[in-house]
Amino acid sequence: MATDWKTNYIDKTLMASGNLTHAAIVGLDGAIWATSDDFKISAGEVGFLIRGLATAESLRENGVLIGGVKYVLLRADDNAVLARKQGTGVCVGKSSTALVIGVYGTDHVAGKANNTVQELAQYLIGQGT
Amino acid sequence: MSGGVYGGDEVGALVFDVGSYSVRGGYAGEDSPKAEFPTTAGSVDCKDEESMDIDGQTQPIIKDGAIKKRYVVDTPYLTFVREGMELGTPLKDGMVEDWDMFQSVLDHAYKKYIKSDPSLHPVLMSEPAWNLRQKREKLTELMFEQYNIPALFLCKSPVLSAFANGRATGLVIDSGATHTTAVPVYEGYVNQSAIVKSPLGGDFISMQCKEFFEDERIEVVPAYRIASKEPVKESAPANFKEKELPNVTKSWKNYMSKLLIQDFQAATLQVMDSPYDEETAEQLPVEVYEFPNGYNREFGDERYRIPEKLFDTSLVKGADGSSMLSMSHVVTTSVGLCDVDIRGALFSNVIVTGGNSLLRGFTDRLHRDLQSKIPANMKLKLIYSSTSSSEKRFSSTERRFSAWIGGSILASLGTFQQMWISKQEYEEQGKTVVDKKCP
Repeated sequence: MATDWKTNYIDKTLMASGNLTHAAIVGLDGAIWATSDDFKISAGEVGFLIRGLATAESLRENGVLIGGVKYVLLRADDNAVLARKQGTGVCVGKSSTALVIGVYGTDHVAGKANNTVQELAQYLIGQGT
Repeated sequence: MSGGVYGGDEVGALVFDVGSYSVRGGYAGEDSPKAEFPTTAGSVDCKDEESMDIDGQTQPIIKDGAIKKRYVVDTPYLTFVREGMELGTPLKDGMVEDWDMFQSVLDHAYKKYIKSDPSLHPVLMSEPAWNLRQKREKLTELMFEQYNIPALFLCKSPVLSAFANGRATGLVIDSGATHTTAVPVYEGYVNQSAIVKSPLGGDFISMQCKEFFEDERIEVVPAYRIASKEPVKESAPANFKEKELPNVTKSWKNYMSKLLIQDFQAATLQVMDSPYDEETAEQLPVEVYEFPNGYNREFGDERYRIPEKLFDTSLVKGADGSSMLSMSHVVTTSVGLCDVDIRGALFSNVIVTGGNSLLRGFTDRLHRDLQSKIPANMKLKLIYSSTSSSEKRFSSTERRFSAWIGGSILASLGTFQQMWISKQEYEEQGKTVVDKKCP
């Protein structure tokens, strides 16, 4: 199962778009389903992000911590989180049972990165996950 | 060409900034908008076809059941004495509410100022930071379907104001006609959760002036009512003859007296350097203002007393006075809602914009009030384009047009060209594409 997530979604969809530097898919229960190569995301960071979706307060005050980098929150609503740090940023899309996390670098376009992430999240909703 | 200067591709993009007071439109890369006209439209019942082009306006007739209605836009037509013309604005709380009227405003901008086919020019449009998703989607639909534009981008107006001042991060305080807002902008993006709004703006000051005139029994007579007048001595009753007028509507009368009050505001009002007290205010120089009907008098401490309410809300009459936020309070509240790490950067980049901030003394007083409120370890810096030497309210184009200028800069950047939503993308993904591509 885990390999499917990695090859089908992380490598072939998210990373292949060329709009992201790192990507991950995690379950809403906090389990890390798959990440792109050399992307380290801890269970603690994921847990904090999931709690933050319910109440944006904590994200607003403390920022979004992904892969050991702290991003400043821009927007958090029911199914999307956007955060940024000095030209780089992170976008999170929510499906029924999972979160799609994408990190983009200074060379990427934020709108395109977000588009890639949100499209996959929408697709997953369509697939029932 | 601007394209050469900025290294961008010349795509002939148009920039529109629809504010609650006026609409600005023009080509990207230019330093000021081609068009600026009030965001107010008059609706007239069209009884006969002939009346259509008397004033040279070619507005489409909107069939509203059996009654034909048409909209008139722009100052010369709005201020024309016309029987039964109701005035209204397409916006509510900065967001588009009446789409028919909004479209008539855009039509006018295209026909009278741009004078080119909409399908040839990509459009960058500003939107309020708190714009709702369905309104953005509707606007996207309107622009692509109705105007057939090749590409669109929506950008939050505080972000554009920050760009116009050469900043990507800062706290933008925009004191406009209907309200004052503080919006934190970080790296070119709005922090949605920390937007703070206050209803104190230019229109509020106009209301206060109106109340003051009523208390002082000064009759506000706009120029359209005056047939002839005789000069009178200071503070003497006016001596003028009234014009015979057709039956004009109440909304039109209100609009015309508001224009007069706005002129009064610009000419006389001033914010004191320190909190208002009557003794000091009486020492300060007085201003003479002459109304169109010839009545003239000196204004002393009231010049300072009226705008003081922007900074000290306890002076506002009525129950809701204490619940409103003063100018400095909007800023501190908004920063307080932001990430601790960026607060310092926000306080050192407080960007002041909006027509109401052109009140004399506004920025100095804001600086003083903020200085006493921010933490000692942070540095305060206010960024604003200074008003010209005469310091007249309506002379500073840069502060009134900051969002438009920011849009003009952004749309002519080479690196921006990949951010457009193209017509093809709209056709493939539908109107929801706007939420993904325009943060």
